[in-house]
Amino acid sequence: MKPQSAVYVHESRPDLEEAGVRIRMWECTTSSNSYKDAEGNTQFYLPGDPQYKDPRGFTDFPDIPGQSLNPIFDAEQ
Amino acid sequence: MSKTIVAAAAALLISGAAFAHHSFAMFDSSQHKLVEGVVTEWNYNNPHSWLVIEAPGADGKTTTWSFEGAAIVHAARQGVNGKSYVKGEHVRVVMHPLRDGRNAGALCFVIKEDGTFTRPNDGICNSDAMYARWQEKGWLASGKHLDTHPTAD
Repeated sequence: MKPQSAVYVHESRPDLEEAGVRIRMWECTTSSNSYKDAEGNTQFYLPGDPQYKDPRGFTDFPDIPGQSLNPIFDAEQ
Repeated sequence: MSKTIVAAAAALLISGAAFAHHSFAMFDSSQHKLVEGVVTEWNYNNPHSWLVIEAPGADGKTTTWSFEGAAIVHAARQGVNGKSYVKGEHVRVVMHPLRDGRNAGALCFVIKEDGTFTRPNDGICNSDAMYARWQEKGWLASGKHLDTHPTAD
């Protein structure tokens, strides 16, 4: 059995960083409040609904840079 | 390290935005409604951004309104970023309401207190035809034109 390896190539995007892009925001399962209702239609859980979740997702390791939920719009949370 | 993470995030968010996340059938695109209030949250997130405001209801009580906007990559193309709406600022939001009558809608555009027009929209609100319709009605010239606008068209 051979060990597998991979090479990741990336390009820095300081413009996105400046624009407030945060990691984890692409995870629909943690950041989306849409669901399919009994009739098969898409609906939303809205603020105040018990199923509503913070659309900014969750943070496993809030002390790690880039992981904080602390958003630009509300520094108190 | 953080730039690596941001770059990886950028790649993923761009690829993630390539598919439609859900239909827009829950919104009534035959109606435009104006809601005016104060920003409480600007969730600059995928799969959709959401703007949440507090607005006075007909009974005078404050109610929460939520508006679904574009995914990050689309919002960014339209000049909207994570700093575009600040908690506490007054905004006027024009949207297509939810058919079920709850306090939410598809975000069409936002006019800030200084008259700045912003448009982090997608789906049924994001078309040249829709933009032309707003222009024709005079809604984009200035925030004051919205005073005569709103609830149906």
